[in-house]
Amino acid sequence: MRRVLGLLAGLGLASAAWALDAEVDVQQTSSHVAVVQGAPGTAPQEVAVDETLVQGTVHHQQTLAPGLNAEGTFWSSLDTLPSGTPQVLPAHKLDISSHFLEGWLAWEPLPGTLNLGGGKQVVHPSSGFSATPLNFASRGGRTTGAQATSSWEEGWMGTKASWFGDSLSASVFWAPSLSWDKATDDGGLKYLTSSQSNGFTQGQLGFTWGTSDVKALAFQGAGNPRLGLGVDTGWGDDWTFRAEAAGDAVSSIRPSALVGATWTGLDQQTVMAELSRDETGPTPRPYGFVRGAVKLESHVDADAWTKVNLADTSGWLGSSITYTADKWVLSGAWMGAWGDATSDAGSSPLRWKTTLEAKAFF
Amino acid sequence: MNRLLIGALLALSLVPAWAEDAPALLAEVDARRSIPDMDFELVITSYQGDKALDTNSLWGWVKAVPEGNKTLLAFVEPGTVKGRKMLMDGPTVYLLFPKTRNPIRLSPLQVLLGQSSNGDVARTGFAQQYDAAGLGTELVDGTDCWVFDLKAKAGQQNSTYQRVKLWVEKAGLKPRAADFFGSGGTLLKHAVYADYRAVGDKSLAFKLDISDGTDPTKHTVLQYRRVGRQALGDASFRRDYLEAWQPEAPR
Repeated sequence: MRRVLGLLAGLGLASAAWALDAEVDVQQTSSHVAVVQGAPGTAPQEVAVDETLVQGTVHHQQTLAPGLNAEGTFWSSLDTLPSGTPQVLPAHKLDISSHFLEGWLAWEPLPGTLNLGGGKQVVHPSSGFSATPLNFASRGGRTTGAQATSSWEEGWMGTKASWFGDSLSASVFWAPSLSWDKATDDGGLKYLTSSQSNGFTQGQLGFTWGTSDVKALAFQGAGNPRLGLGVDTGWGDDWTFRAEAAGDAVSSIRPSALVGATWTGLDQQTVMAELSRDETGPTPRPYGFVRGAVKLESHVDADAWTKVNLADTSGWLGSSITYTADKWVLSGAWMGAWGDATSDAGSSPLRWKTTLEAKAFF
Repeated sequence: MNRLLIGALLALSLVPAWAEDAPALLAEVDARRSIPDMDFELVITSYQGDKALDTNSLWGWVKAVPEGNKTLLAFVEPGTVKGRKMLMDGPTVYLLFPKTRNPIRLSPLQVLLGQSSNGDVARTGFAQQYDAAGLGTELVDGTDCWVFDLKAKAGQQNSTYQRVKLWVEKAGLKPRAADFFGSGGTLLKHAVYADYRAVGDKSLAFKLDISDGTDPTKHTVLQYRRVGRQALGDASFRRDYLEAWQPEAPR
């Protein structure tokens, strides 16, 4: 009887530490894209393509016992145009997707020192905004603004061991290869995870060097090993700096790198500038990125940004305005691209697009 | 006569050592406000005049370390910020957004809550950041007060507030108000400490009203709902542990 009471008391304490949250995001996008509608070789014409994307998540976190925590995020979406172009999918077709973004069980055998976990988790060590050289394992995901990382990205099935010292931390994430025949075996698995045709192992060291935070990464997945190094630091009350470099040894070192700085003013206006260079593709792509953001009043923020390929001077330009209330957010965004048809930004069919977005939090 | 002389000498001997020593007096002011392993529930409301613009509810934990305090914050309300976790380690601020795994480093000015910066929220002591350059007395609304002239310590010259004028009640050494000045001598913030309540053997201001130096109608009220003591392990106050940290309501 005492054991039953103890168990009930334990469950009572555990249930005291739980949280269930939900978020719904509705985006209405009107894209103006250049498409060839006649015979091949005819000049492309600009057409408007409308898309409605509704995404929702339910997130739950629960302390099961002292040192044992579980949390998960389930995601669903309705998309009227998942390909983003009317040439691939009829505009009226509705694509419905659902799966876990994350689902993680963590146990701390040595509280504050050793953390062991398993399940599904996003792996994003990069601090970059417009470019993320250290995000070796990324599943993409769509963004409405200038940021490189989507908040709706799916995690990886795997296990993780983390050790935390006084000024040094180390972690290893192992994701197995999980693949199956989508035609015959995808029935229930698709709600759990997308296939992981290539597994990977990623080790990370983090330490403080003076007033700077340093992280070192080693990644082994498909292809050759990759190494990365990142530094974040600050100066005074208004500056932060970051630098990241990653190398991928094939026949020669093919690095991607980023340096960036953010300045914040007394009225919370910020200016962010980043220079990045990506040599992992067929041709090196050097980018310059600048973003300015202001708080117009207590609930209203606005930003404007541009990203330019410094080699061919093509690029993108965008701006947004956001109203944030206690439980909902309403925003409008515009972005456009420029450059000739052979350039980085100009080779994409997108000319410009507007997005209206509403989010609600429960 | 002798008894009078002895009495006077005795009275002088009872005057604390810090009474004439501004740095020691400032350290004593800090000590009377400092609670080891403090935890709290805090509501931050920003106003334009009498109109409340927005309200944030947070849970917080403070750990005293030799270099200064470390503060952990968990955002509880409203829904648009719920789930954020923040670590303040001196002037360094780390913020972990929900659905992300890498805490990002922010400058203190990037984490304004209402019109108050993290320093306003987390500051439990002045002596760590400022030297007492002068000490005077002033009668404020009939209350005898010490007036400190504080200047940013060497190495803190790039901090937003270069000079602070601090009024402290002589009886009880309770901060009453403070003016925060920028590098050009501009008044940036005016803070009023109020609603003193006993917490253990200390008396703490449960309300801090911070107004804009140029537009006093813009002000932010930091109201503690509860202050107590709860020791979190040292590990919880490290950047890389933010991801694993699961905040629970302060008890």
